[in-house]
Amino acid sequence: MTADGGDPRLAMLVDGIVRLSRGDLSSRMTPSPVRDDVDAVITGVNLLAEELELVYRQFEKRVENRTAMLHQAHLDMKRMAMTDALTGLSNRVDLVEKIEQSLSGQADGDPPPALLLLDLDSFKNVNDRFGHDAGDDVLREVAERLRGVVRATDTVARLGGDEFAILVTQSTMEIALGVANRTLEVLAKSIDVDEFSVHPRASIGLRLATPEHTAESLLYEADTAMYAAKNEGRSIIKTFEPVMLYDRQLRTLMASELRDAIGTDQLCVHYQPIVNLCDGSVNGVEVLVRWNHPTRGMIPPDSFIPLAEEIGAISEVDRWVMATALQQYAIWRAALLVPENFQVRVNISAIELRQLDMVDFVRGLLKRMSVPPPSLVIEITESALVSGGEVETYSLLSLKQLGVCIEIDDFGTGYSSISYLRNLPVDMVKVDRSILREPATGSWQPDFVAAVFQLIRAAGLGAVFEGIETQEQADFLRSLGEISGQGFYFSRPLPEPAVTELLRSGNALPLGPAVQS
Amino acid sequence: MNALWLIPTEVSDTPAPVSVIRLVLPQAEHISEEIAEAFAQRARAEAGGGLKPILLDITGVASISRGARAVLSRSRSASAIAVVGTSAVDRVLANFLLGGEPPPCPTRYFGDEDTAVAWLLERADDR
Repeated sequence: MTADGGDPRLAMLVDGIVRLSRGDLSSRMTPSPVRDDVDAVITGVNLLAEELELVYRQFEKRVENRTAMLHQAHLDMKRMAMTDALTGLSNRVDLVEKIEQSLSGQADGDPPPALLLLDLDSFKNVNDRFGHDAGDDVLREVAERLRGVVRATDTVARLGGDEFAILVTQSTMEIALGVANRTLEVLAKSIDVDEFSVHPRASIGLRLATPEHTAESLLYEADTAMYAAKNEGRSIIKTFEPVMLYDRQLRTLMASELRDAIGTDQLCVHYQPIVNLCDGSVNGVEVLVRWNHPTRGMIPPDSFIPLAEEIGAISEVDRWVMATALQQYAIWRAALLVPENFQVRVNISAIELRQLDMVDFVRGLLKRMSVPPPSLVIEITESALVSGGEVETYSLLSLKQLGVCIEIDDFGTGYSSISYLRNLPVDMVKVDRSILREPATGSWQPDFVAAVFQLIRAAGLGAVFEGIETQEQADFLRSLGEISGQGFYFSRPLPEPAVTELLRSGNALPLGPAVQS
Repeated sequence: MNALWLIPTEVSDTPAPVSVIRLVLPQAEHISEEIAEAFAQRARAEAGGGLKPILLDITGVASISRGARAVLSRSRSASAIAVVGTSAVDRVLANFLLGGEPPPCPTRYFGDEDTAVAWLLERADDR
């Protein structure tokens, strides 16, 4: 106690509490030896301060731990968001970021980055034939091989599906082409899937960046170049050229016009007569779709069917053609004396063959039009038949069961192996026009044609020759046996009124000069 | 630390004498975890693997650290603990000592030793 009655310990206590309240939790006070109530308060405050300090430290530690966990989680999430889960490569988001870094980090005089976009050719077939697990294995192996062709500073990314990208930093055209060539080289080696070997060829588009490029424009132009490479064939490298942009825009425009065309009756069909070579009688027609474009005139199928396949409109086109043709055939049957063995030949794309409801559609159509199934011949290209998977085989067998005839189109253009002729569920073979014409000289080789015909006969199939252009060819084929054929020698594809007139007349083909006029 | 602080007390006027382990913490000392652990070891030795009532005299200690307080809460040799002190400071210290972790056995603070011993014996009889 002090002389004036004040206890100095109380002042010390006040100071101590002030220090604690300022956050100095390590502050302690020393109680006096008296150990009275004031000392008890001092001791209590000390103990409370100690507790508070401890809790505070624990709290700080916990915040520190949680912050570290949060940071780690953020890094993990970022890595996941930037990585392709299947291959562990960068994904599109990461690639775009890397392109941006590469473009913006480029000092004056530094070589620019280059971007390669790759699309595996026919990868869908791998998935269809061997299943998605096998497809994933192939993609992982491709990713691994791509990793091996780049430098540590470059980035390999998977953009989705079978599309990959390689960002080559500080590149020249020579370096980028080197990477592209090495890529084709490593992909040329086959990948074993189960007991099969897959050849993962790729089309590559390449674009060397300019100072004007953004990540988006660089990607777009590399993609445009890849698109051009893909159109040109397999295992092709294309470097971007401005004219490719024009082609692409034109194609985009055409795609949109084609969609409109299907809905607005711009499509029409022509019919090319199929002739029995023995007597010239017309025993069928091949239905050929045309696009009557409002400004560009009549566009042949070669110019828009691949586009229709690409934009997913082919099924609609195929079905429209089949419905139109069968309706027309029903009219002919009702109004004219078409022979019993008359057949309407319709082309079907491999994509349509994969539609699960395709067989139901055909069955419904035949019933609605009261057309006997054998009057319909479905023409399928050789490549579609041979590379078809389970769904395609199911469709073919179901169509055959329905009574519809199946014909291999363009025979002789696809595969060298002919043993499949005996195994496929087909009835007829349409021999490609190239068989009648020796490609180099344009002359033709009767012995070779005879051998092809014998082969088809030996497989128990009927034969139709297309591209018959001369009487010599027609006479020779007639000498081989029971053969049908089509070609300009007999008749070019005709619009409906002309073919109706031909069928009404019952004339044999080719028409004599008087009739033709 | 002096071994004399650990003085077993025989209670003679009970038919079956119950020994109370008496621990006297050194006055004016800051009781650290190490000091507390040494006392706990002696108590365990004294209890001989069983449970015994413990009288813990904290009169005049300068402070009892958190670690030392934790030793008490870990005690496995006490059937009950009576904490004895005399000043207001002892009382505050004792209550921090008893108020932390849930004690392993009955505990209580007493202002004098006699009452504390009586409480301990009473609890021993109840058993």
